Amino acid sequence: MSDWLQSITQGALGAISVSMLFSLHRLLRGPSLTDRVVALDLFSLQTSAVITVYALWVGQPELVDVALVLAVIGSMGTIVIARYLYSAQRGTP
Amino acid sequence: MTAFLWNLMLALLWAAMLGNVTSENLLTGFVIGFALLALIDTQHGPSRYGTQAWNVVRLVAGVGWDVLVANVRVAYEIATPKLHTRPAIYRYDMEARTDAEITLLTLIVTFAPGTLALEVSEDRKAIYVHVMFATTREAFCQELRERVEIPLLRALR
Amino acid sequence: MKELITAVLLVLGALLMLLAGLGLFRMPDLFLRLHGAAKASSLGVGLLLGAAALGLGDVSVVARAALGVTFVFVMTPVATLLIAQAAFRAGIPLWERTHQNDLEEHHPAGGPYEPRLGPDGEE
Repeated sequence: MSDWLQSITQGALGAISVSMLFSLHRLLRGPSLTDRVVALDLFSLQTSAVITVYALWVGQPELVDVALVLAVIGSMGTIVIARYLYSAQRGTP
Repeated sequence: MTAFLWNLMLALLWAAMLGNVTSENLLTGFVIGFALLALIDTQHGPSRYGTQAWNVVRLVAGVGWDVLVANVRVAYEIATPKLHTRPAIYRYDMEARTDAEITLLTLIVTFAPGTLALEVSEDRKAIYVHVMFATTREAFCQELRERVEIPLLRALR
Repeated sequence: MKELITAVLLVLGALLMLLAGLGLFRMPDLFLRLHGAAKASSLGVGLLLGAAALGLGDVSVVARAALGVTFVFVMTPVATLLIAQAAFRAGIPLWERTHQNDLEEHHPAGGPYEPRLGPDGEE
């Protein structure tokens, strides 16, 4: 991998990390529980994106599996939590 | 759908007959099988496989373009400091009836520009759509019908 | 040429992820936040997986990336739909500039959830 692609990869890692900070802010400050669920969903997707870019950076194809499994399990978890909120909540956020 | 499976099977068969399964052989077999399935008449009349495949290609191209436009527009809205959004929630009476049609319609609506499917009504006759840049309900329903639903039903039925 | 396409996919994907985070940060209500989170993040992850598949250049990685993109693009609308339903049931307020709400007529937002319980609190 050439030098300029290395630096672009590092820049992408930095951008995704900044965006993880944003969703962490929403996760901590979100006014309602549903906002936190959305933030958590986005956070798991961003984690899998970071793992993907890291796999490209160090040239390890096995890490793509980790990112794939994390993305699938994160979406599954969001669906389960949303389902739980739907059936368990009594009026108040 | 069955015709597509037949097409894949014909491609595999072609590659197996030639003796070695490579991507070139599979591609040739797929093309020959496609031509066969599109030209041969069934017992119900002339084959619809060719037009069906063309409709699917048109749907995929249109939806892909919509996804790109959606992202550019939402990106502009988020990145510029002033918010011009005028959100609304509209009811859209759909023509799709079966489970697969409704699922695909909500999936496409979620990825289409500035719209987000919120809920399917109990009697499965309407979906509720959150619109980011609202005009009127009639204009929105007409646009969604022409751009998404009619191509989708044409590709599926 | 291959490296150039990889770089373009990487930059676009990272920008989209950044936009998803920014949208979550500064949009005024839950449904507008969902717009950014659903669209931008799924397309961003798709582009990044494509960049990894192209940059690593392995057939198995390409297959896995295709599988991952399919999963993300199928799962995200389902999660969005369920979150929106839960939010409506919980009565999350809409932004004050939302100028029409058909769903409210259909079933009132924040209508308290009435579990069908017997007199003793059992089903």
